[in-house]
Amino acid sequence: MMNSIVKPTLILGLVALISAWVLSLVNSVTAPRIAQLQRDIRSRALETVLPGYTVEEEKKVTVNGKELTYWRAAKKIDEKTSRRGYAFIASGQGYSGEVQSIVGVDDTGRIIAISIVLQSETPGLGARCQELASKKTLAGVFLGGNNGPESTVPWFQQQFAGLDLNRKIQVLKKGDWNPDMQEELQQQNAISAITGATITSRTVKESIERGMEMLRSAESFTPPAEEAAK
Amino acid sequence: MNYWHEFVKGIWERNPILVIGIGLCPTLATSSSVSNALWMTLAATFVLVFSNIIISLIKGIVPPHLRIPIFISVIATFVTVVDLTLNAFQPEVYKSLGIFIPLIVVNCIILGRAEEFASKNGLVASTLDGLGMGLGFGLTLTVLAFFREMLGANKLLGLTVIPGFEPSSMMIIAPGAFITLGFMLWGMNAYNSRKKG
Repeated sequence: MMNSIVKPTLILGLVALISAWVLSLVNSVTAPRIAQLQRDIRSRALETVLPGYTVEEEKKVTVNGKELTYWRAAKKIDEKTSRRGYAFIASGQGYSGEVQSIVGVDDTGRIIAISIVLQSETPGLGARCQELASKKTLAGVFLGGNNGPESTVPWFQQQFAGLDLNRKIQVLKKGDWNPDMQEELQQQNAISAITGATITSRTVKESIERGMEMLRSAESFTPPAEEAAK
Repeated sequence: MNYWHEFVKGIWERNPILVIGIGLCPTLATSSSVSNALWMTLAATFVLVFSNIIISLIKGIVPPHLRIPIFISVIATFVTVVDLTLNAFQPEVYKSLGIFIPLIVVNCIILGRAEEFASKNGLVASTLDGLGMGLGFGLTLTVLAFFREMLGANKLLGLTVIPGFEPSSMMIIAPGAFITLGFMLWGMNAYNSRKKG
């Protein structure tokens, strides 16, 4: 009786002990690297969305029980004047999980650039929000054809640059983005959704608008029209 | 015991996906691109081989009624090792495989081989069985991913195959995986029955 309880318990405990020890060893090697990678992703994202700006401070604002993390930044134009810029974390529920992006806006409420830092959407569909528009082709790699310079900003995210957050952003279904669409989309303050991933595209758009709404309660923005009137 | 047979049986004769019909969930989920398939193969084979090794070594001291919790602890340990290592050293891969790395714990191939083979056989045979099964899993996954990525994304290892060709996105989502797997099963059975007949 005693043996049938004590012995299995000891064996199971021993297995658990060894496995915990192995994992703690692995974790001590990988944990600092993982933390470093997370920091790198964030600082690289901030650089992407606020090019030329210097990030000054990280702030938090709470609106209706929801918290928004944002950064204040400034860019020197000449000796006296400098322009403000902001970056905030926009987060929303996508098709299969949280979609998080860092959004850079200038002081008129225009998007400078966005960078999607976290997503777990369907590979080949929603996950293409992080896809680079590659010019490489299979034939090009084997035969050494002309590939041209590669873009470093995913095409889906590139569409957001220059959109005006004082108006609603429209989500149009025009198929995959290509440079020819850029002008038309900018005029309509619109993006073209990823084919087969309208939910993901909407999530990004809505999370940005929601984040901007919260940011407005903490910082003031001058819409471009008013600025022109001054 | 024929060691060579223990190794090659996983590739065709006892292919875990096409013949035994286990491990279908990760097969369908991670075969949307060839690079995902290859990384999944590497991760699953690593876990399979090492859990087979450990289980064949400890099979003598494992009380029969406790074998499932012990096997799962061993498997979960190796999966966590893979999970942490990929997260730290291959963040891109880790991101694109996502939840399917931790889910290797419940991959039937691994627990299945622990139960059916490693807990009854010696170290060398178990290692070879793990390698063979991993290779069989990987080959099936890669062939599946080859067709899915080619037809569904017009790409191969991330490179465009035919510029300007509009791919069929159905091949990227689950139905495309089922249909392709169906064709592979058909092909395999047709070949086997013709050989017999």
